[in-house]
Amino acid sequence: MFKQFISVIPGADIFMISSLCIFMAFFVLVGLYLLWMDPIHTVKMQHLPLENNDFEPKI
Amino acid sequence: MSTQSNPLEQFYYDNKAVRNFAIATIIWGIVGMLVGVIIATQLFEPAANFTQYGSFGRIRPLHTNAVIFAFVGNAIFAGVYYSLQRLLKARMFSNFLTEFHFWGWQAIIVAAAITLPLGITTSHEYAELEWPIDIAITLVWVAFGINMFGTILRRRERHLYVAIWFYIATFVTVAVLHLTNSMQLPISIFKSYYVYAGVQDALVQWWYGHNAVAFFLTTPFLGLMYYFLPKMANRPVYSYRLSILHFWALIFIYIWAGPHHLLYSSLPDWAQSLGVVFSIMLIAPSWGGMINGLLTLRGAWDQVRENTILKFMVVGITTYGMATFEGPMLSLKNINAIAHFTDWIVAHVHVGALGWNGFLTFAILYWMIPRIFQTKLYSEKLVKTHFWIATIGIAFYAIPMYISGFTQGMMWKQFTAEGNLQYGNFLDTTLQVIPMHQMRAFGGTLYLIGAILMAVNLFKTMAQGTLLANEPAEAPALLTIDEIAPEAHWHRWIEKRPIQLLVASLIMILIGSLVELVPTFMVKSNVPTIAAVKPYSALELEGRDIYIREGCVSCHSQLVRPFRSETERYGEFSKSGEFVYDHPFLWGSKRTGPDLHREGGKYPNSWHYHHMREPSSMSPGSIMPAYDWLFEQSLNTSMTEKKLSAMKTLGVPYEESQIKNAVRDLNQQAKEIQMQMAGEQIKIGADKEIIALIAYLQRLGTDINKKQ
Repeated sequence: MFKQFISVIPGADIFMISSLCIFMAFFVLVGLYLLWMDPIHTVKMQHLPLENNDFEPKI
Repeated sequence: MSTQSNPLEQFYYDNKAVRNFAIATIIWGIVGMLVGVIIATQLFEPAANFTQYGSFGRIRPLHTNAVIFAFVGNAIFAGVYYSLQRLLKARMFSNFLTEFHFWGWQAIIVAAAITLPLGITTSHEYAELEWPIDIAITLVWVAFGINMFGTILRRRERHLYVAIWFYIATFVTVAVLHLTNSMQLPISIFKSYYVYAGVQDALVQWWYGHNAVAFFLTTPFLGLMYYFLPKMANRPVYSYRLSILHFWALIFIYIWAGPHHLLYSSLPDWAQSLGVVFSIMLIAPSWGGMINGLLTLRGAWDQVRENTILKFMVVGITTYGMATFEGPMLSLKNINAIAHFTDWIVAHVHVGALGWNGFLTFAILYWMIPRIFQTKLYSEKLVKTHFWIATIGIAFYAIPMYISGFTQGMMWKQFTAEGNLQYGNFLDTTLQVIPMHQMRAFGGTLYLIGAILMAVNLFKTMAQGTLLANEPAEAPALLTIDEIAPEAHWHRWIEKRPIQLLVASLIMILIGSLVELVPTFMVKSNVPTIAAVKPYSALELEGRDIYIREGCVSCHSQLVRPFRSETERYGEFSKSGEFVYDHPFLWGSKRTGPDLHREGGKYPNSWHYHHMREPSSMSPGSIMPAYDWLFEQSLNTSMTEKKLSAMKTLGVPYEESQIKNAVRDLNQQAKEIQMQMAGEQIKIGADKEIIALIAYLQRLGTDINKKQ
């Protein structure tokens, strides 16, 4: 079952360094993704919610 | 781009599910807010604590669970079922799963409403429900997930709009949070112990607690905002690019911020610092969402002047911006030192809950219900009245709570010129803020009245219209991936692949979780042991369970922070090694009364006896309720042996003989306390629950003073 204390993990700092690297790499990729995004596609995506014709109540 | 197209297909949107969740939102909202007004009243009028089933400690979690999971939860499902079908141009995947989801969720809420007043609680904030209900939550959540993903897979729109990304992130993260925070060892059908203890349990709980705010109160509502705000204003979202950027940033960063709930605690310092850094970073994606929402209304502010539904949205989004700026500020250690445990946190939470969640829910209900009932709103005037009464209600709630929080934070730390605590009696600081609590209850009542007006208006609207249970729609069938033109840009890849999107979201939230949780669990130096700290006796353990049952943790912390103002008032600051046998931890998050970690030995048994029976007899003016039933009810020892055995399984070093003789030892210790009090002319049976509670209170924080 669950143990309170197990053992020392030598070099736990690798957790921090690797997470920083993943963080940086991921956001560089997202940045490039957004930079190269096709403007026509962006406009299409923006208008997706407006495509349905909901019932319009008369006020 | 592809020029291929398929013939139009006829299908029907399920509006009945939307109607059902909307009605549940309205009813549970009023119930949750009503309980909120009752507990707010109890904080200045102890007579409002009627019977043990209505005492503050037991019904405070009823309020939080009702508003979070019943009111906001049903609102999320109503909005998701409406928007998901239309964004995907498909009916919900399974009628059976939709029904199962709806009735299962309502059954869970009813189970919570029955068990919490009975004192059946795990004590983890916002996760108080016991293990059988946790399993039910898992089943219903999985049904919701299958229904959502089934719909996504059967969609007629290739691209997943950003609102659906937020829904997917909500589903996967809530599943991870719920499973991790529900790791309990059952003792009976109504009792379990968390497998985590002390510092680790605190970290898991606040990793969960903070991200419940993130992924239950924030991400689904951002998704709803991205769908409903463009619909309401009839204009597209300001920046689709910004929505993508802040989506990924938000889910990645939010998951790290939990430790800011544990600053100056026994949590390792590196984990506290990580929590602070990521909390500050969180301003950027949070404000990305707020700015994107408000700028969607650019050039349409004339509509806001006329349209009360848009007014609700604007105030809701603005309060989101306020709360998400204030949150990171509160995570700064110097500010947190003053604000933590005070009403400032209550104000902060309610600006977000009443403004962001409440107002967005109201706006969505007002917009959606006339449409699915094919009619107009029964009364526009009532909507306006609701808006103003609720806005004033928020002001009356939040402003006094801020003043109260600042007052408490300052009074607790105030020293005289001679170097003594200015307000050595904690009660002075509680009584000082009573007028603020009265105003808060008034603000809450206004907000509740607004919700009742909404209920009347919406039920009248439903009555005058006819539900379009199955709304006809048509759209071309989805082209397969192979039919998509080869020149389609690579960056659209993920928008077409919901499963990959789910996996990517899961990875994002797991990175922060694992980096914080794993080292705290694995590295021994993070939780130094203290040889003098021993497991609780059988009687103390039973007393601790009564402390949990009565919800004492709602008002009393068990964590002395390393400030002179706290060590002067309470004693030695708390060490992580003192909590290693605490399944669960009971550090608390609010001090309506004083901290109790060094309570042991501070007063004689008789003081506790009189204080629990009539608090104002020992502390004149006290707002603590009396606990009469503890003097009448006999302690149930049928599970005592089993409880010690379970603790041993979890790593608490009980000897076999201690487990075997648990009830005998318990009776012996109870007899000693009874005899001691008999010497002070107090007649009480040794088998009464109060004896166990006194034993526990007298043990608190005393181990580190013992000689080896």
